[in-house]
Amino acid sequence: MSSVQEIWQTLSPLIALGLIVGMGILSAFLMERIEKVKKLQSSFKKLNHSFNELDEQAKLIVKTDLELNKAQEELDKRLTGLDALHKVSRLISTTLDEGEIFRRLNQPLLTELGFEKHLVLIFDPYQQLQCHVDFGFTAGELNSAIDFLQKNMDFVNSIRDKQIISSIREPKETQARLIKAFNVKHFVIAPILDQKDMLGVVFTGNRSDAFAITEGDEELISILADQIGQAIKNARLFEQAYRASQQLEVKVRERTRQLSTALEEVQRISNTKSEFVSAVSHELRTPLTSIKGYAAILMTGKVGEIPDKVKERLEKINKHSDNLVQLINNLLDISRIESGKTEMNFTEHSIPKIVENVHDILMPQIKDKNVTFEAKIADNIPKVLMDPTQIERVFINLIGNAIKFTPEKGRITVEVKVDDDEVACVVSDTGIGIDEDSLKKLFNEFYRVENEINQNVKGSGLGLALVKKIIEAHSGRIWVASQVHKGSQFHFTLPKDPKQIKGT
Amino acid sequence: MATYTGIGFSQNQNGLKAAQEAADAAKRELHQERIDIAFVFLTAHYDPQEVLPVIAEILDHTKIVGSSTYGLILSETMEKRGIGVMAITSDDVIYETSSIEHLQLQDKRWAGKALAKSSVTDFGQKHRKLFLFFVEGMLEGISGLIDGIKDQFGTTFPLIGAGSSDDLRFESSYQIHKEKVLSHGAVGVLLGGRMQFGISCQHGWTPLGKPRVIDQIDGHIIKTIGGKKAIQLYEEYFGEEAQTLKAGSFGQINIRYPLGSYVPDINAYLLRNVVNVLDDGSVVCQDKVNEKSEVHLMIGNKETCLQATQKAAQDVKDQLNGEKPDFVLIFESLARYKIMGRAALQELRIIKDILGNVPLFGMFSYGEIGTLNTTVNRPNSQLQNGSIIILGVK
Repeated sequence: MSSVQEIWQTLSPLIALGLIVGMGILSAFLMERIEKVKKLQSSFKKLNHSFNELDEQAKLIVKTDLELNKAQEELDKRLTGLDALHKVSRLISTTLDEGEIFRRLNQPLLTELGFEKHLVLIFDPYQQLQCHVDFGFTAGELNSAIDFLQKNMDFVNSIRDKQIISSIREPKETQARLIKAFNVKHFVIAPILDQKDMLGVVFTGNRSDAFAITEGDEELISILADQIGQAIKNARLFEQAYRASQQLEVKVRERTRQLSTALEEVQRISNTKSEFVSAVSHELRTPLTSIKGYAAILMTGKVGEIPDKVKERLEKINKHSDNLVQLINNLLDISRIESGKTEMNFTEHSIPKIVENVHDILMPQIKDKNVTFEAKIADNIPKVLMDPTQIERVFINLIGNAIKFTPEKGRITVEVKVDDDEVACVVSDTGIGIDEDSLKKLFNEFYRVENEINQNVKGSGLGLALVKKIIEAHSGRIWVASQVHKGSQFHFTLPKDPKQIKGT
Repeated sequence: MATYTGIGFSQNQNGLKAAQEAADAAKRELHQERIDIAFVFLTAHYDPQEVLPVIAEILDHTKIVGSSTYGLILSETMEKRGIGVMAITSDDVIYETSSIEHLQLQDKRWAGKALAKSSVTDFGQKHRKLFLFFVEGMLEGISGLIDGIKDQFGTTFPLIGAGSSDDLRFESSYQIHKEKVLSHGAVGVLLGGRMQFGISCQHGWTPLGKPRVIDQIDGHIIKTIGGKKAIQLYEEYFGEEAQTLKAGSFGQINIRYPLGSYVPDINAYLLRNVVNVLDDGSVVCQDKVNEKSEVHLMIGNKETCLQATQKAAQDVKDQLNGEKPDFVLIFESLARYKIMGRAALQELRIIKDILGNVPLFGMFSYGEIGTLNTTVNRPNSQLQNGSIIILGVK
């Protein structure tokens, strides 16, 4: 036992020491572990904190994203709506037929505005609303909707004053009535206006809460209603204008018919007159020839000596007979040209040559009257298709008149030039001129200007009428310009191109 | 040895005329004596009972499958109103159809199996390639139906589908089988024969904020997330606006910011739109999520959605070994359509740029059935939200 005790006594301090050392090591180890755990806890805390911070940031991102998405969705909806509105506007503004406007509205395009149901109702002349466009409604729903509006005209009339009625601004009670009547959950109703008058109403609606309306929808439908109003107004204005033009056309046709009848009558009378003049002229010419013949025989003295006084009278008979023959010939020519009986002998001929001939023919009278004659003929005058005898007659008439009405030392000018596709001729004088009233009647048959010269010189009043007929028979034009005491200018034209001459 | 398609579309206000115009146009474009099958999509503006007999008559009473939809996807445009018909005739592809009704009253798994089995009955021993179906989009427990179909075909059998939609009133959608309009039903098409196909399902949403864990679920209802009432996740991010998640509120949050449940197997986030909030703060999703899974709030925008479209189209092209498909079917989430807004039409250009100028036909759906990231994993279809499914058939 003592040995055990000795051993114990010897070892116990060592064991105690070992235990103390072990405890120390263990404590150190535990301390280190505790420190590590603390560090890990700290790291975890930090990590968790970071996670939470990230989550907070995520919340911020989500909220911002939600707002952005809402804005984007509204923007998309508006863009789609505006695009559809643009298409609808273009469709209805490109027709002036009221029925066609409604046909064009009656299609799915309108649903792109964001509404699955729509109606367009227009007042008839009896102020009853008639449905012209219905989309997305069953027959029963449509009857219910129209029945509601017909029975609630006060409500209908209030639409004009309110400008817009919708499920976001109407009182709950009104909303409930409309929702029931139209079988929708969300709606917009806008008046179709023509200035102050209400033409009708546009109704649009949706059945699903997923498509609740916004203020933007109200604006869109309001614009649509305005566009429809404008299109209807234009169509109605066009309809009025069209009807007026139709009535006018009927009137014009009636007047034209009356005028044609009158013209035919005038032509008939004119023909009768021409035939009468022609017949009378022929009848007059035969005895006149006899008178002239007998006068000539008497003047020869073959039937007996005739006294000077009688001879003088016989010469007057002869001279007046010549005048009468000339008058009758002119009348016959006019009537022939009018009735188309005179055949123009069209050949290509030179106007300058005609002017030269006429100058030669009239030279004695020019000299007698002591007037200056000048011909201004352009170099490039082409030959023109004409009846040279008749055109010579025109120049003789015009230059003859110029000599007659131009005082001594006066000037007569004949000008010929090319003017586009015509040859233009002007016979000018420095004579007594023609007053304005006479100018209008100058080319009428038997018209003679009242002036001193005409009072002293006899004339038939047929010369210029004949000239006009000849020029017109050549498809030319003739007109006159004149001032009293300053002279006159007679213009006429002849076409260069033979094709322009009618009847050639 | 070819596949022919003809697509017709009409927006005529008169349902009968619209049906006639769409069917006539499809038949005219198909230009074939025989029609093997026709896909028909109608928006809520038309009465299916009225228009279906007209379409069936014009298409010689061929097999018709279809669905109501919020809108149609066509080769050149997307429309929120109209009737669309795609008629198909093929020397290579075989189609067999089946349907089932009143799903709300039945065990979904059993119904799914019955739907699949019915399509197999007349298919015979021919090579089955793909099952495609349309189901009532507002049906609860679609995953049960999917499981039932998988019971028949196996979990890895290619399976795609779409939830029938309406005009966002969430009141009445329907499915079409032959000349019958189904209520609360599903209609399926089994495709087989000498065909190649490519399928891709993508969404374009990315996770945001810190991850949380779904603690407790009850089917498609999430009770708690991160130890808190599930709704608090949305309340933390959106405050009062989280109340718009309640059914019938039509806020922006549920479609723009779905929950994303991380699925490690496929390294992707399964999206779930919240369709309602219960009084106890639980959130109701369209279909089930995995308990204890990591969940994020998800965020997406036009660009990310279009990138997803591009990826989906490229996946399809790769699966077809770069060959141009004869036709393309597209099922796309309404959420994506709403987010893309006016840029949605760019999708069509992107798809055509990658797959070529091929006939496109599709619909906007309440839920899509497909497999995310098919390129990295064997297919295992589930109900998706916020996704686009592209099927190219060669």
